[in-house]
Amino acid sequence: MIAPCELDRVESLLFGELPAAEASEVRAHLDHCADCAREWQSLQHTRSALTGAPRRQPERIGHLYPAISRKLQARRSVRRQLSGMALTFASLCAVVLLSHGTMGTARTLEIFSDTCARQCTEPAICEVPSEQDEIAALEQRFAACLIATPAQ
Amino acid sequence: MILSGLFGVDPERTERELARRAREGDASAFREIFDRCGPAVRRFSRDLLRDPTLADEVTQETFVRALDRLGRLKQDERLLAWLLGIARLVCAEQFRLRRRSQDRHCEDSEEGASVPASFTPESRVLAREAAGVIQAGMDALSVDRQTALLLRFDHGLAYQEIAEMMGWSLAKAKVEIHRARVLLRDRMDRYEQGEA
Repeated sequence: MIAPCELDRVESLLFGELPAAEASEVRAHLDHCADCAREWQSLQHTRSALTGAPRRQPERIGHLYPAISRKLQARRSVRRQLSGMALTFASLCAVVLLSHGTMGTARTLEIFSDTCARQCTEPAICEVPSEQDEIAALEQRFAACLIATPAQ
Repeated sequence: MILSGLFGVDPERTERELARRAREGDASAFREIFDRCGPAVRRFSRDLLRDPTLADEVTQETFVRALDRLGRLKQDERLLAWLLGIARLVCAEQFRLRRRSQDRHCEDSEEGASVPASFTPESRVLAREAAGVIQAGMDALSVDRQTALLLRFDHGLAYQEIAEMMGWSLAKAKVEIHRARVLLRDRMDRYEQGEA
């Protein structure tokens, strides 16, 4: 091969990647360079082997689109359900925090995390003690205290 | 289409416009992307998997994922190259599933070896034989090399696009494709000389 042989340029010519002027230059070079002409033939051979008629029939894809639409709709509805569940959980948390507002945030979080640690099997469905439970617990503690220190 | 030809509208710009519309929920734009790029995606999947039914599934999954990820399409990225990149990943998942179930399905499908109806009976036989040789040559290559060779020689992707898709350097992409081509040519030459 002699200058300006650049096999990359021969390949770029095959794929139409060269500007017009450069393409003419490489084409002219192929006329008198046996090595580059051989490379050109080899490249063409590979391309026609991979794109040629023996392997090819037009792809029929029209029948695939309805299934794609169905899959997309199914995904959208799953997403809607998930976002609905997330919204419900967020609302639940807000209600819990508000209902325990009188006790102070720190105490509310303490009760919430204690309950989760003891009873929670699924993070999204935590059981939070009601006000009644809290009162019952306080009454029990108070009664125990009375037994421990009898009135004088 | 005619107008685009007359006024010299850049097809890549049209693709970006289509992608933008599809991202905003325009179903007709997404359908147009499917009509334009679907055949190439299916052909690429069929070539890699050698199974028309699986190729259908991969094509469907590619477009379902594509709609989710349209926002990630870079400004300078070509739509077809991007879709083929997704198809490659979906095919890779199929390869992993096959390996897991140890049910590697490598037979040449009837569809893959089919020839145009205009061929004479004799040329049909020859064409089928030639297709078989090319297929055998491709089978001798690793999946990565097959993928890269198809992306370059069948779908006309630039080396830079292939390198990015495969996670290779530009130099490695050139070397791998060159080696794949030499191996395939060698196999075909031997066939033509009556050795295979």
